[in-house]
Amino acid sequence: MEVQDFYGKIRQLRLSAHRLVEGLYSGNYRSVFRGPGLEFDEVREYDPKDDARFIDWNVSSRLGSPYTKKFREERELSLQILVDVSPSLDSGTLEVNKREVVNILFANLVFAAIASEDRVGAVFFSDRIEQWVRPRKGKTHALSLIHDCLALRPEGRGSNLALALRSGHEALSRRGIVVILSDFKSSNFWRDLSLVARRHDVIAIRVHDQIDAEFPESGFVELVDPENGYALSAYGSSPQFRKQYHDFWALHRLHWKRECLRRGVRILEVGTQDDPAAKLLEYFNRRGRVP
Amino acid sequence: MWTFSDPAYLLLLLTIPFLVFFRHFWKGRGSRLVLPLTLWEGQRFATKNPYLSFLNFLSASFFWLSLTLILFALAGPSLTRQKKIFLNSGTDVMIVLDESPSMGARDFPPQSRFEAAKVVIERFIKSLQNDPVGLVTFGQDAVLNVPLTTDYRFFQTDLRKRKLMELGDGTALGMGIAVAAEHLRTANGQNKVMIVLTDGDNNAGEIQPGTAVGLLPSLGIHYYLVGIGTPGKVPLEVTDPTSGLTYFGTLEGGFHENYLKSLANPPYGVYFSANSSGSLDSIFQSIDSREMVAHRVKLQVLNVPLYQDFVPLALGFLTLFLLVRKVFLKELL
Repeated sequence: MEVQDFYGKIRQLRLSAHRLVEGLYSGNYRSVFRGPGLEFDEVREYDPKDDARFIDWNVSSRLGSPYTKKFREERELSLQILVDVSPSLDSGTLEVNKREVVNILFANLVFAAIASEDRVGAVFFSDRIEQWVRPRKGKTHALSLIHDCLALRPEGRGSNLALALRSGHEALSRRGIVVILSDFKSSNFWRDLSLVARRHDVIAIRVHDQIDAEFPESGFVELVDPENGYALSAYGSSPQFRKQYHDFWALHRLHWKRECLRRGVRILEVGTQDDPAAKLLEYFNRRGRVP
Repeated sequence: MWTFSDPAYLLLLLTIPFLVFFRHFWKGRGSRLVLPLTLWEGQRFATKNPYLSFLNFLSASFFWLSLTLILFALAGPSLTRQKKIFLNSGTDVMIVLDESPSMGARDFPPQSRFEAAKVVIERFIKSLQNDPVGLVTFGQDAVLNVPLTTDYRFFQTDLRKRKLMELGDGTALGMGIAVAAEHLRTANGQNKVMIVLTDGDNNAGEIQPGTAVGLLPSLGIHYYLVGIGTPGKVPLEVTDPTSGLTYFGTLEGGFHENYLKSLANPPYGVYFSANSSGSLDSIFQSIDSREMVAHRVKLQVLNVPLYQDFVPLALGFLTLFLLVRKVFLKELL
């Protein structure tokens, strides 16, 4: 991909993120990602340099001289995004495939975090950790993150979500937010998810395509899995086959949903037919109303 | 015999296993749709459809079969046959067989004279090649059963159908010789031979054996008189084909050797006496060596190309393959 292309793409992503940031102006992003906020620390004598707004009038009247409230500085919030770059995301039936949806979601989240002065980092994973970026602040950092995301050529052929969760967990020294962008076609990660969810705020964003749920009514075709080369003959005109296919993935989705909710992980599903930015905005606004 | 005009093309058959491997078993083979089917290191979506697998296998077999047939056709298969062509006509042999009741005498236990004669004639016929052979039988009258022919199978089936007393209760030896002579006369073989198998009686017919035999040298016919039987008392068993009754009895003096000897006229006519089936065999062997002319034979090699059979067959299988794949299975890629 040409560098020019990247800038074009990044500009596009920024525009879509702009909508999200504007939409979140009322503070929904913050309330969804509950940072510790301003915390009352102690009361001390008022100094003329202090802001008069923070004078604690109750204490002042009781003690006869002005006292001001001192706040502990707000701890910075860290956002760690786990991005699945495995080949299973490359398939899709629409002009936008799952990988592009992931990229848009990623950029939106990065810009939203930067707009609210948070630190943001990323873990790109396939069957290994392809790249890891430490959480940092700033627009430059955001742009470089997005550039990394677009320019990454994954070498692995799998989705080791468990490893990514462990890495994300280790990278966040303090309590933070973990966002998982994946199709969740992985296994053996529930234990690690439990560990991460115990300490951090976790949002699982499942990116899907309609072919991940329903096999189209078609004919005979040989299928091959992009990750492990597992091959299967599919008979698209057989209702029995389509039902088995539907059941398999419906069960997988139900299982994913139930297991996430059990661990207090919030979930969001974004299909390739959806507008990812709109989905995010709607999600944050909805979450914002419910504390 | 199978031959190939361009057998080098058969070497291409060796590539078929590789092609099968690359089409059906190789990991990086194409014409497949990439679709996530598994959870990484977890469950995989699996389904079994024996009907589908069978059709898939069947159609693939059709395709490879068709390819194999086309390669065979390319190699130019042909069927090579050698055909013998006789350049000269052989010896005309007319066999005259006695069907009178006295031939039912059991001189050749357990066979009767008649049965022994039939067995030996059959064996004789088998040694012939391109020699026309005919059959005349006589009883009360004489009849041409098989005109001179090289269709030995027809001769054999007809000979097996012959029964004693078919032509009535009598022995028209002279008539038999005359009928055979008449048919040999018009034949155009190099050599004309008449073999008469009888026990030597003549009690019916308009022509005396002596008269008939007298005609033969002038017609260029060599004749062999084979006297079947032994003098003395012989048990007799005859089934009348019209009434179906079987008669048993003893035959005495039913073998007129001297009369037959008197009919011989060397070198045109020779008399042989056969009193056992072994001697009957040796008589035929000696006739064979005396009379049979050398055959001049040309071998013709016939090459019948067979690719016309292979190509439609291959196309048929290819059509079946496409039919199953595209119509029944509605293959996408």
